[in-house]
This record gives sequence, structure tokens and C-alpha cells, in this order.
Amino acid sequence: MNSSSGEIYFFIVVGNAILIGLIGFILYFVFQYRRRKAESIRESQRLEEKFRQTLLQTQLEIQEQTLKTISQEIHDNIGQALTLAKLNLNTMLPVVDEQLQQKILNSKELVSKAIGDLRDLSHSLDTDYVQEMGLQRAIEYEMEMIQKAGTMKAIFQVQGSPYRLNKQKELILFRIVQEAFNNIIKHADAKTLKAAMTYFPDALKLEVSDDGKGVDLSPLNETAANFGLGIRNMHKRAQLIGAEFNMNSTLQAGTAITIFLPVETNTDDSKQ
Amino acid sequence: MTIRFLLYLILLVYLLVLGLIRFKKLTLPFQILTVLIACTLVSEIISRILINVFKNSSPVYHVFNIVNFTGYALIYYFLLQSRLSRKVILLLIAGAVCFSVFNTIFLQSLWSFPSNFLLILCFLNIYCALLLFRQMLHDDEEIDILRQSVFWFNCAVLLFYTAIFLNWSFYNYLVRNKFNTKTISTIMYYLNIAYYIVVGISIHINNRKAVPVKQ
Repeated sequence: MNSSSGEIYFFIVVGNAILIGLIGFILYFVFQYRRRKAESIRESQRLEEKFRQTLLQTQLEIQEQTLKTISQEIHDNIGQALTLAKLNLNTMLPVVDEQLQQKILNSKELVSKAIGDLRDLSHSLDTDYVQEMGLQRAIEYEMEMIQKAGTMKAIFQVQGSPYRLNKQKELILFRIVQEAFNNIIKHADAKTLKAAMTYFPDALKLEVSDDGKGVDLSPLNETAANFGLGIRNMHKRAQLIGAEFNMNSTLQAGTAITIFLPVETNTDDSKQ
Repeated sequence: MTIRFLLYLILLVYLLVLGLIRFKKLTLPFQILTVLIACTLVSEIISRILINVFKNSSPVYHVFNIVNFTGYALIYYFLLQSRLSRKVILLLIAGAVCFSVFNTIFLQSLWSFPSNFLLILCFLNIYCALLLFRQMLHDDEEIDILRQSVFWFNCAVLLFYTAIFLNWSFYNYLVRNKFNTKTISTIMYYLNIAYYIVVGISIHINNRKAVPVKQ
């Protein structure tokens, strides 16, 4: 091989190497581009999710504030007015007319019942009261109110060693349970309502079920807008605290919802 | 007229027709590209006539290379978003036109091929293509990379002008050493055909609505 042909081979090899290098560069670029795009999509989804969570959190805070205001109004104004009415009735002089006397007694009882019911309602709406009582007691209290109303039998079960969760989580779980109770009272036509709390060392399981007429979950969004909204709210709230929300229903056999919340024992979800 | 030249002309005519049919749907850089293809077609025809008459087509390239350079510079001016890059491109256009005149008068006469200027054109295009690749990495384009006209155009420019640069270097070496340059000329022809096929793909998929370009 003479020097000229050696130089020609050199040119060919170098030229081809440069071109192959460029093709490699383009392939690497495509790979990098797709990786960056995937990252960017993940990041925007994460930001969107964060924004959604913040929005939901704000909505819940506003809702809680509204409930608290209503609770205070009930306690301070309506409660006070009824207490005054009861005082007035108590201070009325005995009347001769027996029929009238009986009406006064009935009125006293009705006013007393109204005061009691309003106090219960005020407590169940009051955020601080619910947080002070704790989730388990608050659910128990709600069940007692339902039982007292006498429309259905309320059964509450607890398994495992109870512990308290972060107050915010407890409040959100309580509002989910309240929403479930409301749905059952309004729509289920049930005879029995069951609630169960199971304390696992690393998770809390909450179950609410009834033996009512059930609901067809498939066309939920199209036909029962309000009911669907309630379920969506429960689902969103569960998502907000990182809980799994499941709902099962069989027509004429009842509905059951399950909330499964993983508990971080070494952080804010402290054991009692 | 050889078959490959005919093939090359048919390809240019096809691209020109495609570009004109889709002209309103094309983004500004691809509209400029279509005009550039028209100029290339005209220059190739005039070049063939000059070869038949004078046995030398170099004068065409003294003019066409300026048009080509300005066309590509404008395409990249509209594709690149960095203000600095855009300013540099505008300066390069002015500088290149001056250099072209200087080159024709003092370095490579009208009857010799303006290879100096062609090498500058290659450098500019390779540089702009690399800049555009860098910009694309940071863009928020939702369309898949393989469906982006800019990607195909840029790949074609980067590979074609690198190959052209290498080929011209090799060609000069072969001429200097009195070797046969037929193979190199054939390779350049096929490179041109391959380049315009990929450019055709980019014109075909380019869409004003899908690819926003800062203008």
C-alpha cells in the first residue's frame, strides 16, 4: 500500500467515523428528548396533582369554617333562644285549665328535645369538638344520634388497639363517614347501618355498610348527579390524606364503603 | 442528461409542487425552504445549460450560494428563539455576502467553483443545526419527536452538510493528487437526493397549527 492510498483510506475512515458519530448523536438526541419529555410530563402531572390537592384542601378548610360558623350560630343564637323559651315556660305560673297545662308541659318537652338535638348537631358540625373527641368517639356519637332518631339500627364495632391519628386526617375521615351516613339515611332505605374500625399496626380500616336498596354504580355520573357528587367528594377526601377508597353495592342487598389508610407510626400519626 | 440528474430534477419539482400546494399550511421557515427549493431547481437548470454551452457552471454557484446561504440563515433565524443566536445569524448574512463578493473578485474567480464560500455555508448550517437541537431539548413541544418537521429538517441539514464538507475536502485532495473524482461526484449526487427526500418528509409533515414558531 503506497502513501496515497493510505491517505485515501484515512479520509474514508475518518469521514465515515464522523458521519456514524453524527448518526449516533441524533439517536442519542432522540433518546434524551423522549426522556426529558417523559420527565416533563411527570412533573406537570405532579404539579397538577399538587394543585388539585391544595384546591381540595382549601375547599375543605372553607367547608370546615362554614360548618364551624353554623355550629356556633346554632349554639349561641338558636340554642340561647330556645333556652330562654324553656326558661319562660318553666317560670310560667301553673294554670287552672288542665288542657292548657298539658300543652305547656308538651311544649317544655319539645323545646328540651330541640335543645338536645341542636346541641348534638352543633357538636357534630364543630371541627374542634370532633378533633377533641377523636375519630372513634365522634363516629360512635354519630351512631348514637342515628340510633336515637329510631329510623334504623346502628351497630358500631372496633377491632385492634385504638390509637389517634393526625387531627386533620381524623377530621377528614370523620367527614367521609358523615357523608356516608347521610347518603344511607337519605337514599338507602336501610334497616341496619354498620360501621367498623379496625386498627392494624400500620393501617386503619374503616367500613360503613347498610342493608338498603343499594345503588347501580356504573351510570353514577349520568343519572344521579348529586349522589355521584357525594361519592366523588368522599373519594377526593380519601385521596387527600393518601387513603384508599372503595365502594361496593348490590341492588337490594346494600352498599359498603371501605377506607384504608396507611399509618406512619413514627411521624404524625402517633399511637396513643 | 443522465438518469440520476433527471431523477434529481424530478425530486426537486415534486418537492416544489408539494411545498406550493401546502404553502399556506407551512410555517414561515418551511415557506422559505420551499422558495429555496425553487431557487435550487432554477440554478440546477441554468447550471446544466451553462455546462452545455461553456463547459463550466461555476458562475451560477457564485450567485446561488449567496441565495442558499441567506435562505438557510433566514430559516434558522425563524427557528431559533435565542435573541443572541438571531443577532449572530443576521451579522453572518451581512458578513457572508461581503465575503462572497471578496471571494469572487480576489480568491476564486467567476469561472472557478466557489468552494470557500460553500465551506462557510456548511459550517453555518452545522452550527445552526446543533443550536436548534439544543433548543429542541428545552422546548415544551407535545408532539412526538419523529412527527416534528423541524427534527427531520435539522437531521437532514446536519448530516448532509457534514457529508458535503467531508466530500469537498476529499474532492480537493483527489484533484490535487490527480485522482479520479467520479466516485465522489456520484456520492454527492446521491447525497443530494437523500437530503431532498428527508427535506420532503419535513415539508410533508410541517403544519402551521401544530408547530408554533416565534416570528
